[in-house]
Amino acid sequence: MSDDPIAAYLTMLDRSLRGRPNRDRVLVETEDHLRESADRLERSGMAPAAAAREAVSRMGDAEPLGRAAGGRVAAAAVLSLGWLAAIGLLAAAAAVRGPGQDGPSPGFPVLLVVGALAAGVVSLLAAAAVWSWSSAVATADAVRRRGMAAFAAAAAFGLVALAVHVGKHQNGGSRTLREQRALFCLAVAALVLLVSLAWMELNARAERSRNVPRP
Amino acid sequence: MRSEVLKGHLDLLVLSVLHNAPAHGYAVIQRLAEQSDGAFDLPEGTVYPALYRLERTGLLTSDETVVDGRRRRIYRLTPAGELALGDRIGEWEQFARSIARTLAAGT
Repeated sequence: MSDDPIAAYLTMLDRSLRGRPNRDRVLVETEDHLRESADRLERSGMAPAAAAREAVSRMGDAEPLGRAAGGRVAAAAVLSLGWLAAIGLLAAAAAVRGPGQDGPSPGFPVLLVVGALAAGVVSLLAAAAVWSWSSAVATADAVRRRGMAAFAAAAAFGLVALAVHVGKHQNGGSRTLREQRALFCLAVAALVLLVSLAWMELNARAERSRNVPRP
Repeated sequence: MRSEVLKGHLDLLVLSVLHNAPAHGYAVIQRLAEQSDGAFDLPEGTVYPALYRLERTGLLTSDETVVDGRRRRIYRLTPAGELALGDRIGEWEQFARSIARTLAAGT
């Protein structure tokens, strides 16, 4: 346990911020507040140790402050699921039987690898969206932007899953035709992601221009 | 003043003290205390959830700067915040008049 009440308070706050967005921001802001408060109390004649204790006392409990930074999020779980899906698809690509009478066509492992890469990218995007969405200090524009990211991730993930399903299980048509359909699904997923990223970037630029301080 | 009474109006008060004068969290609390002659004396940590909430809804924006070697976050009203402040002051004045009329009629 630190002898410095401010350091001890920040340790408690850090604990309550674990797994939350904006951890660094809240810690830095709180430390600045406490140090300034203690400095002022010292200048008014209080001993340094007493000033630090008083600054912490005036701040109130660390736990509610930690909660105010935003809800705990399942970003890690989203990321883990996406990467598990990616690893599973890669493993399937490695294990798939070679071309033959009953086996898949030569293009099928490539399709699985593409699906694995897409699953990895989509899960990264989805995790970032989930993480940011729960932030208590995100602006309304940012929340809309992250909503779009979440939608894009969900849509792309669905299309990737559809592509894998179509490529593997759909009855009717030749293997080549099924693979063409699956690749079409993947192409649409990539298009959804690209359009969403462009929209988010334009939205972010508009937000920055609106928030330029007025003279 | 009881803090639970004040908390219901904290957003309006924070917007008001930041009107035309950007400030960091500590200065917001100091202004609240000074402008109310010490009546608004909340635990200092309670102002930060209000600042985060107002920023999230787009009424405030913030930038980080360095002062005396310490990183400091300065909050300012956005144009939407300026509009919201005007609206909320109007609502508050109407509310206060209604309360005053009701109390006057009952005494």
